[in-house]
Amino acid sequence: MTEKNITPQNIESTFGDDEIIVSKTNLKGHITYVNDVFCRLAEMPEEKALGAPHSIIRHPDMPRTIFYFLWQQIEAKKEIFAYVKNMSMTGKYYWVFAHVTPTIDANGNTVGYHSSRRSALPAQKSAITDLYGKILEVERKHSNRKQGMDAGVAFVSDLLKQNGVSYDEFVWSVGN
Amino acid sequence: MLLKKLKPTMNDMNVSINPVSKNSSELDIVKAELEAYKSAFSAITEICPELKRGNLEARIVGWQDHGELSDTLSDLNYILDVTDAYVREAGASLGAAENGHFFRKCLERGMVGSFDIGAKVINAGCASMEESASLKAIEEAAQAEREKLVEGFNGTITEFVASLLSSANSLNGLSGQLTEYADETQTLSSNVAAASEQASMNVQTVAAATEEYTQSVQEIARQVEISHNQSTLAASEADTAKNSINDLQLASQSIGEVVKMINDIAGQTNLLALNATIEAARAGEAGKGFAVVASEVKSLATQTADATKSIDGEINEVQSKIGLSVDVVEKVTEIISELNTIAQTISSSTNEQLDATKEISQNVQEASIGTKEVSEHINKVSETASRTSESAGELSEASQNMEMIVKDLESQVETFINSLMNHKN
Repeated sequence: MTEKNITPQNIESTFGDDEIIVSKTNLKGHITYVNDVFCRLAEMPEEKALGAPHSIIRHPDMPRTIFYFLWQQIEAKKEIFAYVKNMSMTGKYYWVFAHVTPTIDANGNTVGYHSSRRSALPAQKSAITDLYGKILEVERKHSNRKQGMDAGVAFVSDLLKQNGVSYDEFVWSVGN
Repeated sequence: MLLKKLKPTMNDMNVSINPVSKNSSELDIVKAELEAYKSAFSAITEICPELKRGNLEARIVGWQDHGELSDTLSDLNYILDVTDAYVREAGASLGAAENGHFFRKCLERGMVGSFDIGAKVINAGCASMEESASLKAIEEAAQAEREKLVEGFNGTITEFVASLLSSANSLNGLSGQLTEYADETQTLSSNVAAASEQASMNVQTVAAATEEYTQSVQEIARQVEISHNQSTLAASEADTAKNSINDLQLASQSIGEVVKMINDIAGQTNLLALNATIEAARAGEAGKGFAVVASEVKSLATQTADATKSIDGEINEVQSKIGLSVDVVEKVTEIISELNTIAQTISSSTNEQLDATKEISQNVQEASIGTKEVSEHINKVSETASRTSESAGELSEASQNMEMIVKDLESQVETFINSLMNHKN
């Protein structure tokens, strides 16, 4: 279902700061729900999105390291916030401030994931673009994806340690 | 609200379906419409039970498959998305605030209308909570600091009070000792006063004795003077005696010469008498008378010779006695001379004694002044000791007072510390 060979375009799409993009996936990361704002930004009909892996909107500028943090948190049944650069079906990009939470049933089991995304402010986009560029640089020093991600995680962990903040504190402070 | 939204959609549908109806029967159109509505409504009905149970996860999936009704279903989903997001945000932000993670706000972005207002209210509440927490943290830190201070103060004041108490105690002991010393000093000064009184009396006795001694020495000097005069006189008498004896010797020598002359004369007389006898014998009878006279003369001459002999003996005796007298007088002179020397020695000694007694007298006078001063001083010492004793008594009272005050201070400090410590609870 994944659209291959989409060429990223340096065209930004935006959405209103009173809007939210919502999508849900199953445990495998396959999309089970999208709202109309998702469809509009991703330039993708609901039908196409449903069942597709969430990576369908992944932008090549996104460091894998960020998804490592994202999965680490939600697998621990915790919420996570992350700035994410997504890519539409036509290669346009759009920045979101994503809030991802595990969906837990009455028995306490994680049955899927829920993501609400807000628009990002220019200052937030600028700061995070710089940071992600640096992380990507670190990741790309390794030909092996896994090694690259490990190096990126170490880089971010060191950075957080140097500033004496947790990832959550850091992500909420971006652009302030 | 749902119906209100649906109605215009229904009208829109009618408008858009109308051209199609030209080629279909009215019934088919109405049936199709009905099917569309049924399908949409069933999609809504499907999620209602979950929503009713409060499961905000429920959504209409395939909302885009309902043609012109899709927008409404999408809107319905969006309402649920926003409601769900609001509920998540409200819960998560308040939960985070409860744990002190105030950085995790209730996101206002994406919230509209009442949700936006609600999110703002939550954030305001959380900000207020954060402020309170920060104030509380400051207060707690201040309280901890206060407690530390109070504990430090408590330790210090306890130590201070203890050392104060021990000081008051030892002060009390010292004042007792001081009283003892003052009493001892008074006793000692009484003893010294008595001793100095005795010394004063002794000095006076010595002064009197010295006076008497001086008089005696002066008397001795006077006697020695007299003795010297007498011995000088004696020496001159002895000289006179010596001269007399010399004269006597000369006289006795003259007598001896006279006696010798007499003896010579007697001898010549005897010769003459012998001659006369012889001449008388020659003259016989005529000369008989003469012979008698001659015999008589001869006898006288013999007698004279005898007398001179005895005079000579006597003179010799006298001369020997005179010699003895000369020796005696010389010895007497010698003795007198010795006596003079002795008298002179005594005189110089008595002079020395007089000087010495003068010095003694002076010293005694000084000693007298000294003992008087000692007496005066010891009186002052006694007075001071008495005052010291009084002061020591006052000191003892003061230190006992101090002990009481310190104990009071201790209990007040304890009360104060306790009230401070309890205050924090």
